[in-house]
Amino acid sequence: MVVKRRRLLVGAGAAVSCLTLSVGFGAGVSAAAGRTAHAKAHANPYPKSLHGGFAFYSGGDTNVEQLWQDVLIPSFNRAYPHIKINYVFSEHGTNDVTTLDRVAQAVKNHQSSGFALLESATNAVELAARQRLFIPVTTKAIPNSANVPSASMAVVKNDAVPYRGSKVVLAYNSATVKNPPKTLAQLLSWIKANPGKFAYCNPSGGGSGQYFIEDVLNQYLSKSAVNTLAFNHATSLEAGWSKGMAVLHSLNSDVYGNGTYPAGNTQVLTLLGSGAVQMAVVWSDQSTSALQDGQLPKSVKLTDITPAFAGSPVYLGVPKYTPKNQVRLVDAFLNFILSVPQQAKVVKRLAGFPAIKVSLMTATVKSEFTALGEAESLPYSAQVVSDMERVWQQDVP
Amino acid sequence: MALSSGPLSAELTAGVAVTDRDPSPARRPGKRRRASDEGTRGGLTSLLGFLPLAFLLVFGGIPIVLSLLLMLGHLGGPNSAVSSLGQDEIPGRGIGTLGAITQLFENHAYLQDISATAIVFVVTSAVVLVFATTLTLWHRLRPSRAIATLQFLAVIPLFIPVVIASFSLWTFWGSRGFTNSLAQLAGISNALIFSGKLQGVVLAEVWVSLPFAVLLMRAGVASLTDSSLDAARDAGARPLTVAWRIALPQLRKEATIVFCFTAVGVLGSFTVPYIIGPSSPLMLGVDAVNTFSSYNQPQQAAVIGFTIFVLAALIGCLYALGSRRRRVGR
Repeated sequence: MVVKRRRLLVGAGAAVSCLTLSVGFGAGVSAAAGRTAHAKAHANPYPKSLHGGFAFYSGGDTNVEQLWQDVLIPSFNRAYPHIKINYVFSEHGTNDVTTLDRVAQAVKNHQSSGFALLESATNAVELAARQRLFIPVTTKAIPNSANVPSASMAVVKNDAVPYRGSKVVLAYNSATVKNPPKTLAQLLSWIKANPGKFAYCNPSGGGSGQYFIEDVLNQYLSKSAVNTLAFNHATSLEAGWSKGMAVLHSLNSDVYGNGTYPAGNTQVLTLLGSGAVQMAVVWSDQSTSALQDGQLPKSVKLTDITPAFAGSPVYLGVPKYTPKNQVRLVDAFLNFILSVPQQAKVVKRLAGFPAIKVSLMTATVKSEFTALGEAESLPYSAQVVSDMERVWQQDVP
Repeated sequence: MALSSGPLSAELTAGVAVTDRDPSPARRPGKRRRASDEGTRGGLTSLLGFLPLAFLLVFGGIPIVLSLLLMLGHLGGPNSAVSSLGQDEIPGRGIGTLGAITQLFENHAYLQDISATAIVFVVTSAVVLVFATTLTLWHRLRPSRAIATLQFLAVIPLFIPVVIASFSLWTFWGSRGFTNSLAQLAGISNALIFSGKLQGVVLAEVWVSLPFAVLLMRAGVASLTDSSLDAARDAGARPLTVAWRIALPQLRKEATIVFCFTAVGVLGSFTVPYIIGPSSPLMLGVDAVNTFSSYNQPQQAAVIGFTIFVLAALIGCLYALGSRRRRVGR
C-alpha cells in the first residue's frame, strides 16, 4: 500500500458539464457513453500510430506497482502498441527525494532529467510542482484533464495532474464498539476512556496518521488559517499548533502501547486485524481492500467523523525540458489514464477514488466507494506537512 | 609502486628475465614485442589499480565533501539543487557556519537520539560477540550435535530479507504476539512486549548480525592449534579455563572485527529500528532519513550523517587499536 499520500480530492470542485470519452479504448467507453449520452465528448488528439518511448519513475507500495504493471500500462500498450514505457519503481518511495533532486538539477541546467513522468509515494511531486519543475497541464495537451476537479489542480497550481485518490476514515471493531464516535471530540474522549485500544501511525511513515494529527491541530485554527496552510507555506500560522500538539501529547498514555506509534499504515491495519486495537485511522482504499481480502475481519467497519479527515489525490508530473517528442507520448498516456474506463480500473483495483469527478463514473463503479462519500477537507501543503511532522516528532512521542 | 609487487607483475618480471638470458639476434624482435607488451600490461595494471580508487573518490569522496559543504551552509554550486528544495536552511559565508550543527546539538531530543544509538550499538555488539564466541568455541572444545545445530540455526537469518524479518519480529513481539501471549498464559500481563522499544531493536539487531559473526568466529576458532588446547587439557585445565586462558587470547583479532563490524552495521541500520523501534528516541539512521525526506531538511540531515560518520570513525579507531595490539603480542 501507499506509504504516504497527500492532498485532496475535493468534491466541491468546479462543475464539469461534459464527460470525456477516450476514443477507442475498449468496451468501457461505450458503457460510459451510453450512461452520459448528453455529455460532450473530448476528441482524442493522439493517434494510435504514435511511436517511441519514455521513462516513468513511480514511488509507492506493491499495489501501486501492480496497478501500473498489470493493469494500466498493458491497457495503454493495447491502445498504443508502438509506445514503450520504461517503468522504474521505488518501493515505499525510498528514492523519491533523490529523484526529485536529480530532476531539479536537470531543470536548473535546462536539460532532460531522463524521466519523462514522475509519481511519488511522498510529497515529492507536489513539492516539485510548487517549485515549478513541471510542464503545466493544459486541456489542449490532455483533454481529459478537464474532468479533474479544479480544486485538485489548484493544489499543484496546474503543474501536475492527479490520477487516483483516497481519503482517511475511522475504522472500528463493531463487535466491541457499539456506538462509534461521530465527532473528533467524541473520538478523543473514547481514546481516553479506552486506553491502549486506539492507534494512529507515525506521520513520517503514513498519511493516515498525518491526517488524524491535522484534524486535531485544525481544531485550534481558524477556517481561513487551515485554508491558507493548505496552499501556502505560512510558517507564522504554525505557532497555532501548540494546543493541538499538547492534546496529542496527552494521548501518549492512552494510545496503543503507551505511546507506540506504528511505522506505517500497514502496521495499523495489522493491529486492527489482530484485535490489538479496537479503533484506528486508516486509508479508505487500503482498509476496503483488506476487508475484501479477509485481512480485516468483517466486524471492522469504516465511518466518517466530523470534521472529516482529509483526502488525497496522487499526482503525476512531467519535468520541464523533457524532449518534445516524449512529452507528446506522455500526454497521450495521461489522457488515456484519465479516461473513464481506465479510472474505473483504478477504482476497482485499488478500491480508491477516481481522479476525475465521481459523478462521471458509472453507478456500479460509484457503489465501490461512495458509501463513505468524497473527501471534504483540505490537507496541509507539502512544506507545511514537513514542518508538522518535525514538530510532532519533537513534541508528542 | 605497491601494485607492481602483485602476481601479474611477478609474472612480467619473470618474462623479462627469460628474455635477457637469450640475447640471440633472431629473438630480438620478440624481445621488443615483449617489452612493449610489458609496458601495456603495466599500464593496464596501474589502470585496474586506479579504478577502485577513482570509484571511491567519485561515489564516496565527492558526496562526502559536498555533504560537508552543505552542512557548513554552502548552498550554492553542486548543492544548489538540493538546497533549492530544502527547508530551514542556514546559509554560511566564508568558511561556513556551524548554525545547523548547533541547532541540532542544542536540541535535547537529538542528544537523546545519539545516546540511544550508542547504547544500542554497544549492547548489540557485545551480545553478538558473546553469543558468537560461546557458540563456536563451545563446539570446538566440546563438540556435540546440539551445538552444531545451534550454529547452523544462527546462520539462517543471513538468508532472510531484513524487511521481512523486521515485520515478523514486530508482530512476534507485539501485544498480540507469541511472546506476550506466552506471558499472559503464565499470568503476567504485557511483560514480554518488545515492539516499539529499544530492547526490541537490540534483539532484532542481534538476530540480524549473528550469522556473520558466527561465520567469522568459526573461522577464527578453526585456526586454533590442537596442540595448545591439548597441552592445557593434559595439564588438567577445565574447558572453561582452556577457553579463557588459551583460546580467547588468540581470538582477540577476530573478536575485534566482530565487535566493530557489528557496531558499524547497527550504527547505519535503518529498516530494523524504523519498523521495530520506538517513535522516540530514534536511532540516527531513522533520524537522518526522516530529516532528509519527511522534514525536508537536507542541511540538518547532513549534520546527522556526519555524526554517524564520527561515531563510525571512533569504531574504526577501536578496530585499528585491536589489530595493532595483536601484532605487538606476537
